[in-house]
Amino acid sequence: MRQVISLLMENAPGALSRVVGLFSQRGYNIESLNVAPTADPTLSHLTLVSSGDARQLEQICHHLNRLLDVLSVEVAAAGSGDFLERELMLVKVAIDTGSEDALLAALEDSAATAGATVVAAGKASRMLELVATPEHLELCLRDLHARQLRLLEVVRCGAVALRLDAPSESGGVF
Amino acid sequence: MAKDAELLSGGEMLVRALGDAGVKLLFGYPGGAALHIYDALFRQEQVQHILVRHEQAAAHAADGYARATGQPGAVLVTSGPGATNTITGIATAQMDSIPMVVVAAQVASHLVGTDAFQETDMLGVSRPVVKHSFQVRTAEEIPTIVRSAFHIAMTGRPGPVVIDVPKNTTDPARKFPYRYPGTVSLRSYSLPGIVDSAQLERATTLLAEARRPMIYAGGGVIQGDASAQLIELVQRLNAPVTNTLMGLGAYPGDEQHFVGMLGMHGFYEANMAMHHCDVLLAVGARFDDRITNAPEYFCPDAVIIHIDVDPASVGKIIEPDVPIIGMAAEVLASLEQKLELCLAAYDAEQRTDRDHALADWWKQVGRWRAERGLLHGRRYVTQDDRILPQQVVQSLYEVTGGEAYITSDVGQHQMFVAQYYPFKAPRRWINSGGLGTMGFGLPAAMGVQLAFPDAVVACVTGEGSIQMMTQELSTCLQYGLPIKIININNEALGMVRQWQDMQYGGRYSHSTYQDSLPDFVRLAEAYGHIGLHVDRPEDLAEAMRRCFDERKRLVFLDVRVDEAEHVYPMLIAGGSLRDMWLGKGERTPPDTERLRGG
Ligand SMILES: Cc1ncc(C[n+]2csc(CCOP(=O)(O)OP(=O)(O)O)c2C)c(N)n1
Ligand SMILES: [Mg+2]
Repeated sequence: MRQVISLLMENAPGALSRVVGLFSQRGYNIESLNVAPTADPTLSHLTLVSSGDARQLEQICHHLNRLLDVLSVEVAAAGSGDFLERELMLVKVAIDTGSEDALLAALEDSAATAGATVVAAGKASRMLELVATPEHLELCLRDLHARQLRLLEVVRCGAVALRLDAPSESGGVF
Repeated sequence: MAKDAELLSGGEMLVRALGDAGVKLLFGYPGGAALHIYDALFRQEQVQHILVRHEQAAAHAADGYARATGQPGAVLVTSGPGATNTITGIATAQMDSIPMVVVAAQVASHLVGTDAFQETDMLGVSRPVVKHSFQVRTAEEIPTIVRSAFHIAMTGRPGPVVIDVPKNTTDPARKFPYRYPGTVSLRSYSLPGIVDSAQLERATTLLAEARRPMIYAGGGVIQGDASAQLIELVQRLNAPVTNTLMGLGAYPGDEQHFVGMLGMHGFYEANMAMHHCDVLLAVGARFDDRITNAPEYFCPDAVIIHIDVDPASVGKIIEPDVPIIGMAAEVLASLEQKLELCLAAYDAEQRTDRDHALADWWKQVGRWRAERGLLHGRRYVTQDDRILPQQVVQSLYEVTGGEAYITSDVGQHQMFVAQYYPFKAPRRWINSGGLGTMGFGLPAAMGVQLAFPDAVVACVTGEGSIQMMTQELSTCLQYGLPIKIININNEALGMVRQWQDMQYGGRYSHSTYQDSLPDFVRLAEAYGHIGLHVDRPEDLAEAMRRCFDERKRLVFLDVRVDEAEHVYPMLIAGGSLRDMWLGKGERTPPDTERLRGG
């Protein structure tokens, strides 16, 4: 099951490598990782998505909490409703000469369905931007494929997550 | 700035701060990046520096010092190879939760990241084996970093802390007002809070009602100075108690409630009592794989209470029914008080019932002891012509009255000490349990002997392990350390050989070197010490006595023993704690009930 870890840590040199190092050291796979400073610039918020069993993850949370740089760790199953999740995706779609009109039409259509925006144009490509839940981004990609559009590059920032309310039973603050 | 603050350079501040943190002995080895610090050391008397012969030894010596005294060990090394040489020592301390601060010099800040001469990313290299690490950015930070490092090393679950010190921050030409901070503020460092009283109540009831209670105490009881509280609880409960390899001495080894060490090479009675108990109280122990054997068969009938200071250690391998996070001393003391109240409220019938259950349980433990007890039946047969390693340890016990500080290396000799030298007090048995580091014994003994110059300190080693650290014989001479090195010489990497006997059809792949061993007597003499050799059983006691009669000098006693001896009991992999090899080709009867799926 996909698990989301939301973690508050010192925005200090070495802190991130300690956190990430713990995952590799314990043989735990990171699916996506996002870190940025919070409103308080001395702190960073880190969102990490991982698939693994809950028990092992609980252990990792204890270990994370043991790190000096970590202030708090929260974990919840993805889609459990405990967290609001969002992810940014940029997709570069090929618009080959000769069939521009058909391709552009397909692209516009797909963008409208997914709620994405075409934000830039290259010589033979367009750039699509979408902010949504990670699941929604998957659907968007599938739709682009279904319309025979050729994707040149896809970049995603990894999920960011924020707890809606106080921790519930299903989640847990370690 | 306070007017009275003295102006000091970074190097001077570092040394002063170490002194103000309580460091009396600093184990180290100099080099380019550390020279400003070494010059500052030269011009003061607060901190005594001990020059080792290899940086790994500095870390082990500081570790031995910390284990024996309960105070953090301190190490100073240069950058690059000096720093990397400490890694094994740091990892050893980390695995056994030993408080230690390692100051590693670094190339100047402007050279960091340029592959400068003797530059190593020490923070990166040490990261997986430290509790925490710091890099000094400006000289002004030094006192606060040192203060924080010692605080972190000592509190919660203790561990090693590295401080990386770029050379420019120790520049003697730049002076700063020195002030040692009285407190530290580390907002992201949390220590165990108030003990959960509901869990304490549950634990009390379980223990009071147990028919076959058992206590399993580990190194956390020693590190947490909770031995007195453990003893009181055991007496109140009247339960058998076992110690892990790391916990030996936490409960007096010569007291009747003690059933010996448990686990891989644990006592028969300890492993059997563990397997058959109905309530298990684990304290300061971490259920590692050398203890549990196959976790799915571990203590099948037991309700498990687990006390630990570290939440990450609870539920890692065995999910306890009652987890209690807190300091061992505090939790054990409140358990004992609650238990006293609880038992006092029992009526006559309840009391008789409990007494009967415990009497039956003790009768059973007594049977196990009589059947197979290591110290109660002497599980080895002496020979006329060869000394057995067990005899060496028993002779050592007799000559030292069981009162010595004993360090050991890793291998069969280590297990024989754990089995045949019942420690009466905590902090007397000093060995690398978690990492199992050969080479640990001699430098650790140096740390102990320097901490307690008048104490009797022995290092029990093997000819394999000691050869990883013989250079330290020179350090011992320099500081006049009268350590007694007891070399249980089986002319082989004995523990490896034992496994090769038992699992690899006796194919001794690279575990022997008979023809190339040094003459240990002459080796000791070459370093200015006394060397003795003994190989006949009838000469052992006399040689041991001569060794310890020599109060002022180091004696290296080389004892040639029977190389065929194995360590037993030995858990049979994949089974439970009742599945043990008891001798060559002799095992406990298979658990037919379990095999039938019962
Ligand atoms: C640094 C290190 N390398 C390898 C090992 C693996 N090892 C464990 S016991 C052992 C043999 C130790 O031989 P010796 O010191 O002679 O002790 P003995 O078992 O013979 O008593 C070895 C090689 C280890 N524990 N540490
Ligand atoms: Mg040997």
